[in-house]
Amino acid sequence: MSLLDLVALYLVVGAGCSVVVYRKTRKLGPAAIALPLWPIWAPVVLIPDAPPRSRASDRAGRIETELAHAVQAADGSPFEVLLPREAADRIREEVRNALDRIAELDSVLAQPGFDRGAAEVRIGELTRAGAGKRALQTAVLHRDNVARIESLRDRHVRALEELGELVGALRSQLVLARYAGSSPEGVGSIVSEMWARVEGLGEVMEATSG
Amino acid sequence: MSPRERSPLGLLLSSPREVARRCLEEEGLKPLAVASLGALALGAAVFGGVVGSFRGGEQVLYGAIKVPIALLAAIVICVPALHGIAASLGRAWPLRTVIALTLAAAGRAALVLLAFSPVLWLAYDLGLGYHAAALAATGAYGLAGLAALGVLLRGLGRGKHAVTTALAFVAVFLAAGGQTGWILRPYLVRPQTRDVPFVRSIEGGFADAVVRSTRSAAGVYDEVEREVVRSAETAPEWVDPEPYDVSHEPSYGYEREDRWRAR
Repeated sequence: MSLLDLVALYLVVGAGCSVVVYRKTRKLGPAAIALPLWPIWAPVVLIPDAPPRSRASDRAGRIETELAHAVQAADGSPFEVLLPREAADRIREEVRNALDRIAELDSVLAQPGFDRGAAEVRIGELTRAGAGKRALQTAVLHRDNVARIESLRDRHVRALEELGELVGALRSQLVLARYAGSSPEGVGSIVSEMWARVEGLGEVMEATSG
Repeated sequence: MSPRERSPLGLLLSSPREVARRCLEEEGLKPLAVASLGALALGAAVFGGVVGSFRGGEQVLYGAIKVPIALLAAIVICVPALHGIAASLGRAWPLRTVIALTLAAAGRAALVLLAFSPVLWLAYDLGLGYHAAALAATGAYGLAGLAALGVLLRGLGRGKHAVTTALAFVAVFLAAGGQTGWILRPYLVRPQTRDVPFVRSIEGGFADAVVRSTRSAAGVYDEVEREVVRSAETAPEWVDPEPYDVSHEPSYGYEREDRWRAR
């Protein structure tokens, strides 16, 4: 294959990528750039950015890291029965579900009309304007609903944080138990509390989705 | 204005740390990539045009077209290798992160080349000789490379194998960039060269040229070169007395540079 053949093949693939980029973006500019630069342009324009980091996603990331280390510390030791890999997978799934739910609530709260401060201001305006009882009741109901959504989101975030602390404590307890021979009861009690939190996390989400 | 509020171009100029953070966290990659590509195209084109202005004429346009193409081709070739190297040395970044980091580094380097262009142009205009002109352009490239390295090192952070990864990145880019540059040569052409092709025919490669030049600099010549050097040493004064360089343009019998530039 000569250099010209290679260039021709490159441009044929580039043309295909241009078509795909145009269909996705409906703009000629990005499609034109894709023709000569498809290896470096197509991944940038076709794949969306990662979701923005938040306190909850940072926390979830740390939980997953700590969990991986805890499973590693328990592996091959008598404590493996307390934290098998399947259990760790279940915890990861609950954490991901909690994160998804927090992201959903965040996106709801980000929409226009879901700002508690603005809802309070609206109640004040209606009161000053002498609005009818029904209008005022509706505005108050809206404000209370927004407040409940915020409170629900905060409960999810707190539950995730508490779980994170427990996973961190479990990891250190497992390492200590493995190398310094501390009692299995210490590990067992942390594991029990951790499972209680995981169950609680699941119940919060079942309550909100029900 | 905090780094998060600046435009992507502003960040490329003044905040390599924020650029690296955005690349790693995949935040606003598309505008950053567009700004990097724009900076690369503009900076490299202006620098290429200035280098071409050493001879002038159509070489200004040729240089303005070829330098951005050489840089972009090097990036396109390198990125998959850089992705693999980063993953094997403990940084399993998404491909988009590697692309964005490489483009941002190259964009920043191109802005440095743009900044150097007026200085280089002035130096050429004041009568800088051919070899000094080549050195000056190489120096500008080197400093631009350091600016690019700033973004790269901030992206790699201080974790394990950071230095090894950085060295591997630089080595791969130098190899790819050297070869793409070689394919599209010439850039800096002697003023008295009559006809300049857009691209010279491909003879050997960048690595061959480096080896040959190193051997020549050490006085080790192969059969053909030895004969040419012997002829040059016994030639009349009006023939360029410098040892034959295989990368010279194929036009012989030109005057000494200082006599031409004194015209």
